[in-house]
This record gives sequence, C-alpha cells and structure tokens, in this order.
Amino acid sequence: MLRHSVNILIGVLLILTSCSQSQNSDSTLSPGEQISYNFHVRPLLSDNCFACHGPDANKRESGLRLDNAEGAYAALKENPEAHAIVPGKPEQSEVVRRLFTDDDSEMMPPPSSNLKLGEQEKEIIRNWIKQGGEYEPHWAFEVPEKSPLPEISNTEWVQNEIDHFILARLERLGLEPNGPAEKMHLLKRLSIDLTGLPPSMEMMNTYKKDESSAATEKIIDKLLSNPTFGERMAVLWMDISRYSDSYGYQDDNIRTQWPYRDWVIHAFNNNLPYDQFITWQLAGDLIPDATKEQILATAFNRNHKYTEEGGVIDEEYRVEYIVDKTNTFSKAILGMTVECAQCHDHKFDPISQENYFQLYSFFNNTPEQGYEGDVSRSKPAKEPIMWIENNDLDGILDFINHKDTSKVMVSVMEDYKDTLRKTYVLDRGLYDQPTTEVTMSTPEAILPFNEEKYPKNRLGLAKWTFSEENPLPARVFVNLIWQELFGVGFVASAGDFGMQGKLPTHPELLDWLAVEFMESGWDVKHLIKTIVSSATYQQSASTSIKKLEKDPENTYLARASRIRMNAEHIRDMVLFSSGLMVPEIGGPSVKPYQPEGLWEASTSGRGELAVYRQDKGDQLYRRGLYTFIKLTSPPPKPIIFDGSNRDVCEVTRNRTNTPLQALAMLNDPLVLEASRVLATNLLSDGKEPSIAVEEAFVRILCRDPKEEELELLEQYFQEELRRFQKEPETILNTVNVGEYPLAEETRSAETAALMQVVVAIYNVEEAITKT
Amino acid sequence: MLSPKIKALLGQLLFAANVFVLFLVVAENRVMIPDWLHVFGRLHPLLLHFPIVLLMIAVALLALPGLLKTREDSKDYGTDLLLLGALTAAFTVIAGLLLSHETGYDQNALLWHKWTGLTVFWLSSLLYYFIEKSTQKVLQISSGLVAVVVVVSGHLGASITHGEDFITAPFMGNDMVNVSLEEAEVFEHVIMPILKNKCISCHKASKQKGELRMDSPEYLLEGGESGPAVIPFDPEGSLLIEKIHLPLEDEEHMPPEGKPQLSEEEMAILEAWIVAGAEFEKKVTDLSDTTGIYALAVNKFKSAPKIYDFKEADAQTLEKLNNFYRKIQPLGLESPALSASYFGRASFKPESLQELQEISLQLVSLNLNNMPVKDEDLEYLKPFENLEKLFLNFADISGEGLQHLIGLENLTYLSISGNPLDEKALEQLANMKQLRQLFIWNTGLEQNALDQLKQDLPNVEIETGYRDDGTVFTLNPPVIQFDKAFFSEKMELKIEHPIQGTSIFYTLDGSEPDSSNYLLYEGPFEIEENLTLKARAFAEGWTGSATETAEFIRSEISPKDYEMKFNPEDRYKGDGPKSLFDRYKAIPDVWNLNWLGFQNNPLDVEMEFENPTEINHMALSIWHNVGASFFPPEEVEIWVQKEGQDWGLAKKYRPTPPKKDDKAHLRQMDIPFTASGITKMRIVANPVPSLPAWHGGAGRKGWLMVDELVLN
Amino acid sequence: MEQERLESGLNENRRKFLSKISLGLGSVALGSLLIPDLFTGKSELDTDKLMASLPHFAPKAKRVIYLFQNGAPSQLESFDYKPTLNKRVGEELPESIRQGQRLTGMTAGQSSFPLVGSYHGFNQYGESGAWISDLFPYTAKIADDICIVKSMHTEAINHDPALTFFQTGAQVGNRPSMGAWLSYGLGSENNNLPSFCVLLSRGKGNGQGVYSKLWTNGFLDSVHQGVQFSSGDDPVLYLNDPESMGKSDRRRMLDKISALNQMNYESFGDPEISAKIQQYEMAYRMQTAVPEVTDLTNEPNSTVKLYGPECLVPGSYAANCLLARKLSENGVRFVQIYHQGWDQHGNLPNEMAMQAKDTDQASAALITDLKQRGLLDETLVIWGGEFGRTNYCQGKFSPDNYGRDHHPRAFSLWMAGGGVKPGITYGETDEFGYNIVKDPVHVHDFHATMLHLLGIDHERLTFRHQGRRYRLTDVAGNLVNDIIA
Repeated sequence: MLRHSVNILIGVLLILTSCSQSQNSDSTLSPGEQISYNFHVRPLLSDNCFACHGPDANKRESGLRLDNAEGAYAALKENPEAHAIVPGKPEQSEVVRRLFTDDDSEMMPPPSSNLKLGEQEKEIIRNWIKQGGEYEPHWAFEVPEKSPLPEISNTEWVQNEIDHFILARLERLGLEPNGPAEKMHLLKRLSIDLTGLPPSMEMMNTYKKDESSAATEKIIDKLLSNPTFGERMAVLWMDISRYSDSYGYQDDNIRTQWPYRDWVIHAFNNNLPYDQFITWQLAGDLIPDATKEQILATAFNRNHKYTEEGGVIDEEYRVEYIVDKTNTFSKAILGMTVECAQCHDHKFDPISQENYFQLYSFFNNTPEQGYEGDVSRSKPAKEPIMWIENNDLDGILDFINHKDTSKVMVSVMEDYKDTLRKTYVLDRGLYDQPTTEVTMSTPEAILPFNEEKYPKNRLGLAKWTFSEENPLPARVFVNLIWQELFGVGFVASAGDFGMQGKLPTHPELLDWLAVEFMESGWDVKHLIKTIVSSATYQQSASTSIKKLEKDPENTYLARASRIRMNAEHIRDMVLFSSGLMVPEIGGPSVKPYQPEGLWEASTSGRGELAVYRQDKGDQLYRRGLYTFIKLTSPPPKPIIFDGSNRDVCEVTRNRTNTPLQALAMLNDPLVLEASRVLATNLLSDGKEPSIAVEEAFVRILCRDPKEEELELLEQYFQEELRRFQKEPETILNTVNVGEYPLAEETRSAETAALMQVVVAIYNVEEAITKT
Repeated sequence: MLSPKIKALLGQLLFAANVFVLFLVVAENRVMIPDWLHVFGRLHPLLLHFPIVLLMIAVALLALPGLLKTREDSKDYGTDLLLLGALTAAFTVIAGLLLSHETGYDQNALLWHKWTGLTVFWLSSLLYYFIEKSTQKVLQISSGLVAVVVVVSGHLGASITHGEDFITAPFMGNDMVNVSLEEAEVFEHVIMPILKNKCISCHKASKQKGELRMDSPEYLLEGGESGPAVIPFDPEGSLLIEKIHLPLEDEEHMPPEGKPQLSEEEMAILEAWIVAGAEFEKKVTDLSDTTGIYALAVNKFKSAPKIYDFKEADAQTLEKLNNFYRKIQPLGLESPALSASYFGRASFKPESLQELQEISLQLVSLNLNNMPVKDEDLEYLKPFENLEKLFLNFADISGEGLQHLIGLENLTYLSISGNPLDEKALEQLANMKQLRQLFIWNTGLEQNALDQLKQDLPNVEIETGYRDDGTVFTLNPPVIQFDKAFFSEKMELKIEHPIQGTSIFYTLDGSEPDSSNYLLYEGPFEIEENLTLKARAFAEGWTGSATETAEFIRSEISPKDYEMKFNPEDRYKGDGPKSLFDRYKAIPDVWNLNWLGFQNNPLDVEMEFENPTEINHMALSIWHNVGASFFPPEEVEIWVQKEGQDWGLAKKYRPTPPKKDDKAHLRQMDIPFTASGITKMRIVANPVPSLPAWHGGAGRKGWLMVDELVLN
Repeated sequence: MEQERLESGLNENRRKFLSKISLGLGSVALGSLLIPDLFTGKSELDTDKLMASLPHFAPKAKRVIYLFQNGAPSQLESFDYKPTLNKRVGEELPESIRQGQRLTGMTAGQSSFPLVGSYHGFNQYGESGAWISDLFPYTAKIADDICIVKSMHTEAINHDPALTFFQTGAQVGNRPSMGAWLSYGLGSENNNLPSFCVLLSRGKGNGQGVYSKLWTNGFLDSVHQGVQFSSGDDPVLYLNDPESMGKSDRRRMLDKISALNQMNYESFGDPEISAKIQQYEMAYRMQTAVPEVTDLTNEPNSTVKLYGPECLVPGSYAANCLLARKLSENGVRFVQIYHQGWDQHGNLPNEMAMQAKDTDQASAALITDLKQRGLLDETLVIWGGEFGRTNYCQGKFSPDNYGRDHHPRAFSLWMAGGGVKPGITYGETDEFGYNIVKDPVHVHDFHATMLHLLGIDHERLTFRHQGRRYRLTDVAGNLVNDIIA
C-alpha cells in the first residue's frame, strides 16, 4: 500500500531518530522494568476501555468496569468462571485474551469502535498483569507532598531546588542542560514573561553594566514590582475568565465588565494571595460585610455570554449560564473537565451526573434571569448588578480607571437571601428534564464536602477548594504559571488533570512547587520568582540536532524553549519599541485600527456595535489587553495570533505559525505606523543612519546586532534610500500611514528608507519570540 | 460389545417396530393421531441424527472390514451398530410419519423424503436379519445401498426444513455480493435472485409445475398451461403478479403455503419491473431513475468505487512531485490511483507535465483548468494510459492538440470549456469514442457544429452550458460616491457602475432621469448648492436601472466650540454634540449611531463662533416618522449673543405639526432666521410633550430625532 | 492543544520537506509516526492523526459550497407545497398535529394559532415534477439537477443555537465548524489559498447576524479556521502591500528578512525559525494567488447575465456566488456563504419575495456554471437555512400579510452535484407541513452524509481534545443512503 511505503520511508527516519530514544526516554519500556499503572497502563485503559467499562454506569457494557480493582478482579457477569484481570496471571485474564484474539466478534476494543491498541501497548497491559496488575489511585487526587531533592552530579549548574528535579531527569536521559543564556536574551525573556513588554533601553544598559551576581535578581524584583506585571498576568486571566465587552449571541450588544479587568490587574499587582484571589471571585459577595471590591471580583462568574435574542426560553438560557459558571470553575481552578457529566456520568473520571449538578447547585442560587428582553431593552449589565459611583473611585475602588462622571454598572454575583433555588439533575442536561433533586456538594473522588466545616454556599465551595486536603488547586495554578513561562505545563492539558488528561512530565517537581506555593501562603510573586530564578529557566535556548532528536518537544528542558509571544504582547512590543505606547493602566476597552467592514458584514444591524467606530488619539496606542472584544466578531489580529475568541474559558492557547501571521506583521497599519514613527524619531536628532539602524535593531530585538546582521540591514537601507531618491513621489504615500501626526522631516527619503528597515526588523522571527 | 441377551431383546424390538411402521404406512390416512403423539412426532428432527451416524459407521465397518484390527471385530461391531441404527431409524421413521400429518409442508417433497426414509429403515432391518447368511460381496453392495439412501433421504429432509439447495448453496454463492451499482443488471442481479430463491425450485427444467419454467427470460414470457407469467408493461395481465397477490390460503397462491414466501419489497420489485417493461438486458443505471424499479433496485447496490489493480506510486516520488503549484493526492487512503491538480497560471510551465511521467500509470484524474496549456503540450499526456478525467477549461487549446488524447482509452470525462475551438477540434473529438461526458461550453463552436458532434458521439453526454438567450435583464442602479452628505463650500461627486459600457443619466433637480430628461455623466463633478441627485444606468441589451438618489446639503458654518445642556436619551446618544456638526447624514435606522434622540429633555445646544458671524439660513436635519412618534420639535427657541451684548431671545418658531398620514422621511426642517455679528448662539428645540389625540400613543411624549444642524 | 503538541513535536526531519500548513500526502501520518508519545499512553498511531488529511475512501465530492440562507427561509413558501394550508386557512392548528411541541417566546403567548397557506403559488418542474414556489423561477429551471430534502429537522428553536448546531454539530460551546473539520480531514488542495473561506452578504429582509464562531477552528489548529473574505479592496486581511510598494520591493524585503532569520537559525537551530521562513514565502504566494482568483475581469461576458448584474457588486450575494465558484475551482475545500435576511416573523409574503429575488438567480447560476465546467460532479452545493417556519401565523393574521415563527420539526433544503442523486425529492411532511411523516433527516445525519460524499467516515474523523475524542456528528449521525448517487 501507498501508506505503507510512506511508513517505510518514515520507518527509516524513525530508526535514525528513535533508536537512540528507546534506550533512555520513558516512552518505551526495557524488558522487566516495573510498569506503573498510572503512567503506562491507566492511560491505555482509559483511552481504549473506559468509555464502555468505566465510571459511567449507564453506558457500562456487560456490567464490567476496569477503572478500579474491585471491578476488574471480580468474576464476569456473563461468565462467572472468568475474571477480566487475574493478578499475576495474564494467561487467565479475559482482558489479555480479548486484546490478543484475532476473532473480530471477541476482539476488544471491538473493531466498530475504531480504536486499536498497538502490539507494544498490548504487551504493556500483559506485563502489568504479570507483575501483579496493581491499581493505583489517580495521581492528581492524591494530596501533593514535597519529596526529598533528587541526587545529582553536576551540582554547579544548579541554582535552586527546581534544578535538582530537572537535572536529575536529564542525567537519567543522558542529556546535558544548556549553560546560562546571554544576558540580553535573558533580559528580554524575563521582561516579556513578567511584564509583557520588551526591556527599555535604560534597563538594557544598566543590566549590561551590572556585573554583580545579584544583577539578575535585582532585575527580577524590579520587573515584579512594575505595575505592568499586573497587566501581563491579566492577559492570562482574561482568557480564563472569558472576558469580553459584548454579550455574544446574535445582536451582540455592548456590556461594561471592564472594571473587573481593572480589579484583576490591581489584584496581581498587590500580590493578593491566590486563595483569596479565587475566593473573592467565587464568593466575594458572601464574605461577611463584603466590600465593593470583593463583590466586583465576583464578576468573574458573570463574564460569560448572555442572549438578547427575541423569543428565547428563559430557563433554557438560565441553565446555560449556570452550566458555564460550573464548567469554568472546575476547568480553571480544579483542572477538571466536567462538561460531559452535564449529560451523563463522566466516561473517564469518577464524576457522576449527580456530582455535576451538586457542584452546579452552588452557582444556581442566584436571582439571575435567562432573558431580560431583546436588544432594544439592552443595558450594559444584567441583574444582579453593582453600580460603581463616583465616590467609590476615590475610595476602595480607586484602582478603577474611569474618567467621566457617569456611573458604571457591572454584572456581579448575589444569592437569594432567605429562599433557596432547588436544583435537580437534568436528564441529558436538558433544562426541561429535571429528575432527582440534589443539594450542594463536591465530587468525593477529589475531596468530600465536609458540611460541618463549610457553609453550603459558594463561600463554602471556596473554603473547600483551599482546604489543604484538596489535591488540585495548587497543582493546577503552578502548572498554569509553568505553562506561561515554558510554553507547556508539566501537565500539557492544563484544563484536564483527570484520567484522560496528559500525565505530568515531572510529577515530583510539580508537587514540590505546589506545596511550596501553599506553604508560602499562596504567594503568586514568590512562586514566579522561584521559577524564573532557576538555572532551568535561565539557560540558553540554543539547541543541537542531538537534543532535537532526543527530545524534539523539549519535554525535559535540556534547553530553554523559544516561544512565540502572545498576540497581545506582539502588539505591545510594536507599540513599546516604537515609543508609541500609551502606558495608561486600566479603563474601558478601546477600538484601535481594524480592517474595514468586519463588524458591518456580520452584524444583524441592531445594537450599538453594529458599526465599528474606531477610536482616536491615545486610545489607538493602548496595550493589547485593552482591545475591545466583540464576541461575534473578535479583533482579527489577536485571533490570527492564536488569541482566545473568549467564547468559553480557555486555559491554554495554541501556538501556530501561519502565512496570515506573516501578512499581519508585514501590512498591519499599526506596524507600518510604528515603523514610521520610530524611524522619524531616530533620525530627528540628526543621528547617522547607520546608528539609527543599530538602535532600531536594539529596541526591537533587545540585543546588539552581530556584524553581518548590521551589514545586511545597512545595505538594505542603502537600497531603499536609492529607491526613494529615484521615486521621491512615493515617499509621502509610504510614510503617510496611521493617524499619528506626520512630522515635516518625515517626508525625507532617509526616513522612508529607514522605515522599511524597521518594518523588516519587526518581521524577523526573533522580534516576536522569547529567545 | 452388546451381550447376547440384550442383542436378542433389541432384535425382537426391531421386529415389533417393523410391524408397527408397516401398520402406520398402510393405515396412515385412516387412523386418528392423538395430540400427545404429535409431541413425539416433533422429535423427528432430533432422532434422525442417530440412525444417520450409526448406520453410516455400521455399513462402513461391514463393507470395509479392514478398518478394525481383525475382520471379526469389524463384523461384530458393524452388526451391533447396524442393529442400533436400524432401531433408531425405526423411531425416526415413526416420528416422521406422525410429523408429516402437520400442515405447512410441501407434500410433494415430503413424499420423496417419506419413502426414502422408510427404505432406509427397511433396508437396514433386512440387512441385519440376513447378515449372517450373506457373503462379503452382497454385504458390501447392500451396505453401499443403505449409505446412498441415507444420504438422499437426509438431503430431501434438509431441503424441506431449510429450503432447496440448502447444502449446495455455499458453492453457488449469492449473486448480490460484490456487484456494484455500475455493473448491476436489472434481470440478472435484481429479478433473478428473487426467482431463484422463491420460485425456480418448482419451475425449472427438472420440475415444471404447471408446465411453467422460470429459470430464464424466454420461459417467463412464454409462460405455462394458464398463460404467460410475464407481460411487459402489464402487471395486471401478468400471471406472476396475479398469483403472488392472491391470499395465502388460496390454492393458486404462489409460492405455495409452507414454502418460503415473497417479502413485500420483493413483490414490489417484481411488479415495478414489469410496469417498467420487464427489461431483461438493461443495466440498473440505464433505467430512467423516475421508474419505480430503479428506485427499488438502486437501493440494493452501493456504487462501488472502481478498484484499481496497478501498483501504487512510491511515496518519495509523490513528495517530490508535490509542490506549491501542483497537488498530487491518492483518491483515498487505500487507493493507488492518483489525481493531480495545477494552480497558479502565472507560474505554470508545460514541461512540468513531463515530470508526471513517473506516475503515468497511477494518474486517473488531471486538472489543468486555467493553465496556459498549448495544443502541442497535450502530447505530454499521451503516456497516461489510466487517465479517466481531464480538465482543460480556459486553457489555450484550439483543438489540433486533442489528437494526442485519442489514444487514451480510459479517458471518459473531458472538460474543455472556455477554449476557443476550431473545426480541427471537432475532427479530433469525433474520434474520441471512449468519452462518456464532454464539456464544451463557451468554445465559440456554432450550434450546427455542436449538433454534428452530438451525432458523431451518440453515447456521449455533451454539456454545452449556458447561452445568452437574449433575455433582457434590468441593470442594477449606479453607485453615488461621496464623502459626507453635508458639505461646507463645494464637494465632488462620483457616480460609478460595476458593469463596463453602461452610460449613466442623472438629474440635479429631483426629477426622474430618463431618455428625455437627463444629464450624461462624463466624470466627477462639483456641486455648491443643496440638491438632490438622481441617477440611473442604461446599457445596450439591458433595461434601464432603478433610480439611485442622494441628497446633499450645504452647511458652511460650523462653530468653533459647542456644548449640549442635556444629554440625548441613552437609546439614541449618537456621538453626543459632535453628531450635530460631523456632516454625517444618518439613515432611517434606529440603530444608526448618527441620531440624537430627545424625549424628556430638549435639544439645547450652545455654540461659539470663531468671529462674529452672519447667519441667513438655518435648518434642523430631522427624522420625520409619525408612526414611530418621531415628530418635529413643538417649538424652537433661538438665543443669540452679539459682540459685547448679553444673551437675548432672537426668535421663537413653531413648525407646522405633522399630519396623521404623513409619510415617514428624512427632512431639512428650515428655521426661518437671519442675523449677523453673532458670536454665540443657543438653540433650544423642545420635543412634543404630548402626542396628538389622533396618534396611537396619544398623550405620551414624542421623540425629536436630529442628525445635523445646518448653518449658512 | 493536543494538535499543538503534535505539531511542535515533529522533529526537523519532517520540517525539511513539509511546511506546517500544507498537510500534503502522508504528512500527518508522518507527524504522528515521528512522535513517540507512548509514555502518555497515547498510541502514536492514533487514528485521529492517521485519518486526517486524506479521505478514508475515494470521495464523490472534492469540495463543498454551502449557500447558507441565514434566518431560516420558510419551507412553506419554497419547496414544501401544502395546499391543505390554503384550503384550511385561518383554521386553528389541530392539537393532534402540534402535540405540545414547544414554541419560542414569540408565539408561546399567542392565544390562537391560525393556519396560513402560501401566498405564493407552486408548480411542478422538471422530469421529477418537483414542487417549487413561484418565488424561485431560476431554481425551478435546475429542478432536475438538485435533490430537495423536505424532511430536515433540528433541535434548537432559536437562531443562535440552531445556526451553531448546524455549523458545528453542537448548540453551544466552541466546537470546530464543518469547514474546519473538512480542512483538517482533507487538507488543502491548493497550498496557496486557505482551505476554508467564508463570504458574507445581507439581503433586504429581517437579518439575524452571523458570528465568527460559526467558522471557528474550535480546538483544531487555527490553520483550519475559516478565512473571512471581505468585499473591500483587501479580500484577505492584510493581504495587500502598501500602494507605494512594488512586488520587487516586497521581494527584496522578504529576502532580507529570511536572510536574518537564517542567521538566527544557525545560532539556535530552532525548527520554528525555518518554519517561519516558509510561512513568509507562503504569504508571498498568497499575494499573487488570491487576486488571481478574486479578479472578475477575465470572466466571459455571459457570466454577468447568468448570475445577474449584481454579481459585479462586491459583497452582494450574486458576487459571492460567483466568487465561491472561482475559489472552489481553485481548490478551496469549503466555501461557506452566509446570506442574512430570511427571518420573516411578519410581512412574510413581501420580504420573502425580496429575499428570493436577491438570491434565486445567482444560486441557480452557480449550479449551471459548475455544470458547464464539468465541476458539478465533484462539487457539492447545499442551499438551506437553520430551521423551518411554522404553518400557523405569528402576529396579526391576514391571508396576504402574515408571519411565521421558528419551526425546528420540519424544513427543506436542497443539494446538488458531488455525488447526490439529481432530480429527486426526499422525505415528506404531513399535510399541514408540521411533522415529518417519511424519511426524517436530522442535522447529524446531514453532516454524516456530507462527510461521506467527501470520502470521510464521520465516525473516524475524530480529534482528541481535553481527554475525549470529538466528532462533527458527536455520537449520532446516520448516512442518508437514498440520496447518494
């Protein structure tokens, strides 16, 4: 077959690459090696068997469940002589027989399922049973503990505990970590990671000069204390809290949740401990004599979409909203994807439909409506709301950036005081199919809800979440931060720590950091500082064929990953390096340049957002975080660069590389305008073009150019200069882009030529990459 | 080994059995069988297995004494087994006889089974009694005989319960399998299988019940004793249809009671087939798909993708041949056949076709649409022996090159639309008998040429596509291009139409442009006064377009500074005061963000001018829509401040109130006012406080909708 | 994310001969084979990956053009002829027919549900004698080329969820749309164009808006996201270079950029860098390829009369139909057209007529045009909305001016080409046009059938996300064999 010949071709490549692999990576098992249920077996069973032989009682085939020992060892219903798994006796285990048989009628998984295990995988299961077929509890449901630091040989590389874990693994794999990154590379990396902005010229110079051993720590502290830190963290949190400036659905009218964004920035800058950060967002309104700030935080639960489509059925959507709240909580904070349990018992995780609606009921006790009327009655917030008056701005809400005198309304949480809305399990998750009544509780598998200790409301849920027996929240957040800094979390599926989720690449380190995080009093800045202070983080990104072959995904971190910046930070980089950026923090979202006709083409013609009315002046140069997000037509450039469309809670962004991105960097008027402005400024004080080129390079790529790089750019400058001198009539046309006032001197061939050089530099891969 | 005692006993039992069987056979129709005995009868299917096995072994031992250690052994064992076999045969036969009295069996087949069965029993009995006296030769012959009868009887029995050919079926195979829709024939693959399964067992050469044979077409038409079974187009007349529709209990009903019956669908198919003319030769796909038989038959087959047996191309070659302007893909995951597509006219090189030689065997579909392929380039395609589909639309073919395609025997699908073809093309095409579908739209060929081609290629579906049949369509209106509807001194107007060669007639006096009254648009022009532009497009072969209208208002003066005392209502807040002077005209749409809407508060705007200003015309641009309660203001106050003076009320003006049946429209509400030396001016326009009695919302507050304030 | 990990996992051997976007032959299998991912327990021969980028079996259709009539055109004024409604006009909808079916908030409050028949006449057309309303004279002419399905039914009763359901197979959530699934499942045919394009237009009728989530890639790689073509001078966002920049100037800049990238690659050896270089080349090619397609000047004159004069007005439905043909002809897998304005809660006879007038000629023209180029066989064209409309009147009732509310239980659409049986009508509704009485087709069935025509087994085209395998057809979907040629 064609495909086979492809495979042969690949086979060859594989042999080249993977034979080295098989010696040391965990991916293949050397004979006799002890097989771990959690790491080798459960993923196979979960992926291939649990759908029919798992926790979901309704879908369970022939009464057999393989997700726990009792089920697997028990006598089979259909044939009491036989047992699915007989510990130590593969030959007697039905599972093995069914896996290896060629008889389609007997084969498992059945051919109809389109699932198939590889020979190697079958062997793993056989051997596991031979070795006793022992079940282990799911790793993520075990309370994390600090394990002793592993022994390592290359001690001088190590800078803190993190490095012990990383290095120990590398040494086992026979991989050498990289040495420290070049100072300027490291500085850019830190600056982008901690503030979302490239380092300023001053910062680069001071750091370059500072030879002291504490130089890097100083920079780290400086960056962490910079208010731009809060903005940078907010970018992550806006995805998680699915923030938007419109209601989504159909007419998609405007809403004003932006004060919540201001709060998130504020909270991160104040280093509000993570447990409180979440507690306020979940249940700020229920905290005894809650402040307006704590209530504002609960907007977290109200950021999801609201319909204003005429004629919808109120309850259908009210349920939809509570479901969104529930899913967001469990995905973002517990790292559990529970959606499936809305309609049926979870197929892979021990979460029943009942569990789901117990969790749901925490959020169900609000006076919130499913439908408040159509777009003609639209208000910028939905009941229950909180008004932000002027005097609040001088008081506890002084972090809110609101200029004019009008009041602002925000959708927040509020519970029925005296009554309690009954919650029922909804058959197939349908709003009109209530079955048995349930009360507030949490999945036992994670941690039972102790009614003595916790009140039965959202505040209780928050307390439960942060009780030290709860195995998940610390791990989940640590993992998120690791993902932000290294591109991928220990658990690649940051939103799913369940049975089907990816397994941690460094379980001990993950747990160590989780415990450290809790012991530090959920201190976010401390956590981040610990990580970025490690040799692992600070090592260079250069790589070799050997490393690529052994570890293409850089799972084991023998080098720093080069990571494409977030969409927002690409915009920030352009604005900052060109000097265009308006550093103002917070406030309502802004509408920068956007290609014509996008909103107009998709709108129903109703609502305030039917037409895109671009802002003017300063508002054009605000950071990406503040770009107005209309859900039904999100800003194109962030989307092109894998930004979330904010439709639902997202904890991980894709990072792709497409031609549309190239076009967006080459022709986006903002990039061109920034290039023009930077070029003008560089030449304005009569600098030599060659100096100007060099400075442009430094400002954008945050390092000194190499000889050949400079040569190449200067040569390009000369080419362009000649071009514009030949066709002076094209100059104005070239530089006249964007609304930033056009200085007289801008209309020179030099500026136009330098502008082209700057555009080129912005388009170098390194410009939008953490190196 | 049976003890002599037992043996004797069994021997007598066998004798008794013989007597009883004989009695049953003779008295069969005269005895009344009690129900409980029927139960025993039903054991027949179970019992019959014993005699078959026992007797077979027995006769084997007796016939071939060499089988066991000693000849004695085999004789002794054989004899004993024979005894047991005969006995069990007895019970089987008795049960069978009882069973045969139950209804639902094809008596005919039963008869044969009955007698052969009895023969088995009697033969074996006889053989047993005379075994001592018979020589080895006799023994062998009679044993053989028993064996044969056992098989025959067994087979007949099986046929009754499991239907004819039960045993042989596996060898015959099922006609339905692996026939694709493309190959399927109506009679061979749809009708025949039904007849085979349900009719032919009794209507064939060997057994022509009612002198009717159904095992081949001619017999069906010829029919039997009572006439032809099938009369094309005439289901009523066809006995076949008549009989299958008779009630089951009816003597004449076919297939007879007790035989496997026709399913609803099968009956429907037979009938539909006759209705459609009882085709014997046609393929299913050749039937008109409006016929019932087609609808029914087509579901029986899946259109199977053609199976290709040539070897697949090697993957590296494909990687190599795939590039940014050429995509080569297998038809499917498991298919060796390839299809290739070219893109990017600018970067096409004919020689690149040469490179495809490497996959000349596998290439079945080639897409060269819009590529500048010349006639001579087609020579590159010669080696593609398996090519089936070729797209050459809008290439640069004139025709001669098509000769290179004549040799491609598998080429059934050719699309050369959009190429300016000459008569050479016709010659070549005429020779391409292998084609099934040909697409030659927009090739400049005359109708008669096409007709000729259709004659030359009778079996080819020729698609000549759309032709401008001279239908006259209405042009779409022209587009009036302008910046802002309110202009200060003068402004330039552009009128465009997407279709080349249209001429644009327009008027500036609000009258309808037509052939008698118009200005011809020759390019952008400037206007300086208020006016309404109306434009229509005309062109040869088209009906003139509808009228496009745009209104332009001169508004020279815009204040240097201004502010509004009250904000407009939230619902229509526009851009705040800016909207009044932004020169944007709002459209009659409540969501248009150029509208300022006032209901509870008046429009109250204070303006400051650069330097003392003379105003001799003023208008409020409003939306007049009685139905929506959009009324002109009830009253307008104009306050002015002249140099060095204080504010003074310069004018009160009450516009004429609207009438019930006013049409909704946008209008410039003139405010008769002139004055000079104005430094500051304030305008207060009060919305109608209470709608008139005749209005739907009588008594409620009216709206004042404003999009611009005009000052000259 | 899974996808992301896979992609970034491909080691550079793969990079050397495959750019990420051109999921050319075997590339994905290649990818999946090169990732020893066993320690996570996931077989590297994961069906998802293996199946992607090639049809499972030889397809009938290679491309799809979906003429989505947004807002839900009334089946009772288009293809589902119900004389009974005209006979019994004004009578109450029998409860035996309605069977307590849930209604939208717009008519739930209505005290009575008077039946109303079509104001517009019907006639039979073509050999098949299909019933088509007088509002669609041009569609009537191609009656023998299309397959009318009168027994569609869906689950949602409001526009947003119904549209989302039709496009993504789920009423809520951020699932990939069908175009994205196809792009993922079949890869792109023309490497210089997006494999999934979206064209928007609006009619004169009551509009309901469209949303980018309807063409989202969901959890699939963003390469598979629908690219919205704008009617402006920049058909694809940021495609056009600044006026003053000539092709050669651009070329020179790109050479400099890739030279710089190359230097960086040498010092870091990061495959992402060489991938980036390829993406810039790709972008450069798009800059020639797209205008080549969007330029309508080379169209034969007859085209304008075939599609109607509107077809030269950018952003009009007719223009989009013409553009759709050109994109499809140039290898775009899925062209999705949305045309707003079919939501006739009131003033139906009049608005419906305007909508039909705007769309009828161009829709039919597209079929004729594909046919005369021999492309109809391998292009599947679909016309229809997100649900149907009630057989009773919404709001004030008079025989010549009435409205119809949303009706999920039965509606009509038509398909043509791409291996669909031409000239047949499939499925039936009761005499009131309210319930389906024969051959119901659920949206999932429709999806399954569409994928089948494209050579894809809807149960095998899956993608692992957050620990579960997702399908366009979720856990349902049956082939509608009877409409497959």
